[in-house]
Amino acid sequence: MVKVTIRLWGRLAEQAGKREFHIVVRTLRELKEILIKRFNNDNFALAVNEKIVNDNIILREGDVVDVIPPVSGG
Amino acid sequence: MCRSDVKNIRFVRGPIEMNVVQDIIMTLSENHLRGSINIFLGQVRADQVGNTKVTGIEYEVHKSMAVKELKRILDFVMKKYDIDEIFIVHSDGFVPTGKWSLLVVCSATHRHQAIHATKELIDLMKKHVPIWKKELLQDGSHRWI
Repeated sequence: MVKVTIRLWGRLAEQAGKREFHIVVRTLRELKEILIKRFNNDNFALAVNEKIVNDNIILREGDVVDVIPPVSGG
Repeated sequence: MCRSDVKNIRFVRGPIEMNVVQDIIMTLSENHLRGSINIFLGQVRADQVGNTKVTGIEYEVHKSMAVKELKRILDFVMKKYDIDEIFIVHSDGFVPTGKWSLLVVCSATHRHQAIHATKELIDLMKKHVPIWKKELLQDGSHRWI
């Protein structure tokens, strides 16, 4: 288990009432399951150290995971 | 055909002002081999939403990831359409209705390249760049779009 930083964006940050928090977790899949339960939806992508990751990976101490809801710029 | 440069990608706090637009056009006009400078300005609309209306949009930008993704998109579009240079400016923070939040200026030898490149760039941007919009409404509420 490692401690990672989670950064929230868009409506997810508003829903959580914060931009950033820390969590102790082992894999990206475990983290995703926690986030799905927390937000009651799975409509987001995950970026680890600013790279979108779709596979299950083992996280490392100090990793930063951005939780990216559907984008709407332009 | 050039590759994009991160200096051509800018985020500004609030609305994009006229002097930013003018400076970019003047910069591109200095190269007399360019036959086309295509300019797109995105303006915040005062849409009606039920019984209320939009008073502005709050933009949230993941800047470091947005710059990387925009550079990737610019490189792709410049190569596909043989574009000489592109500038893109996007707002971060609040932009009221009637003000500009997106500027794309695209230069090429001929107009069809510049026009098509601009369209594809914006289409790709809307799908891939980590920017989020929250509409602020006159009744005090808001909605994420």
